[in-house]
Amino acid sequence: MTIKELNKRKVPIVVIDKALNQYDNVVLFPEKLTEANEVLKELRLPKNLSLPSKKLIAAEPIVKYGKK
Amino acid sequence: MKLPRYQLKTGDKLTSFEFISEGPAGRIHKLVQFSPTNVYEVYNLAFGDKHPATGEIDDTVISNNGDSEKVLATVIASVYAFTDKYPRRSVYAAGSTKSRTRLYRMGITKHLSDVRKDFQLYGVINNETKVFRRNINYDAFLVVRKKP
Repeated sequence: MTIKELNKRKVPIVVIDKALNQYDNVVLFPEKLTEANEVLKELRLPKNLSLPSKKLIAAEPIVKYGKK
Repeated sequence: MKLPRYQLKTGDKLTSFEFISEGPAGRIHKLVQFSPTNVYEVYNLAFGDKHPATGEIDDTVISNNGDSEKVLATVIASVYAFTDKYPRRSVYAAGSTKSRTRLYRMGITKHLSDVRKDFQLYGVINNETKVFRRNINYDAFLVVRKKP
């Protein structure tokens, strides 16, 4: 890819750092996630929203909560 | 978007991102994470400061590093990277306080024309999702990547 092509990209260039893989199955912001789930449970989505049909996942994901 | 932003680092799955804010308060490591919610393909965006010694994350601290616009541009860049890898996933975001949510709203408004080229943008208010408009105090935001 040329510099010109890179500059035209909308997607930022990010550096892969495998040290960040440690957070893959860890919820770093559990309170924020809980609040988000509370809102999403009641939220009415617009009809024209191009999302797959709103489907509540029955089981809680198995994650470890990070230190606060 | 070609606004000043910090260099982003991420893991193989592009769900957690790190960058370093630099300013009068020094170098502050910040973490952004996209976490699955209970709604299919909707991910919650959250970010906070990482303590350099303990590694603990705090999303309530006010860093006061004089670079809020650059930080916000960097977080938006992480949304681009995440949804580029997972184009079917939507991103839900709310501030940890009302004033933070308002700050995010002001930031989104500033980049509105750019963001709208690539995302469907919604504000959440009174348990309803509405197409984002300026000057409305939304409780949260939802973005859906547009198909190319």
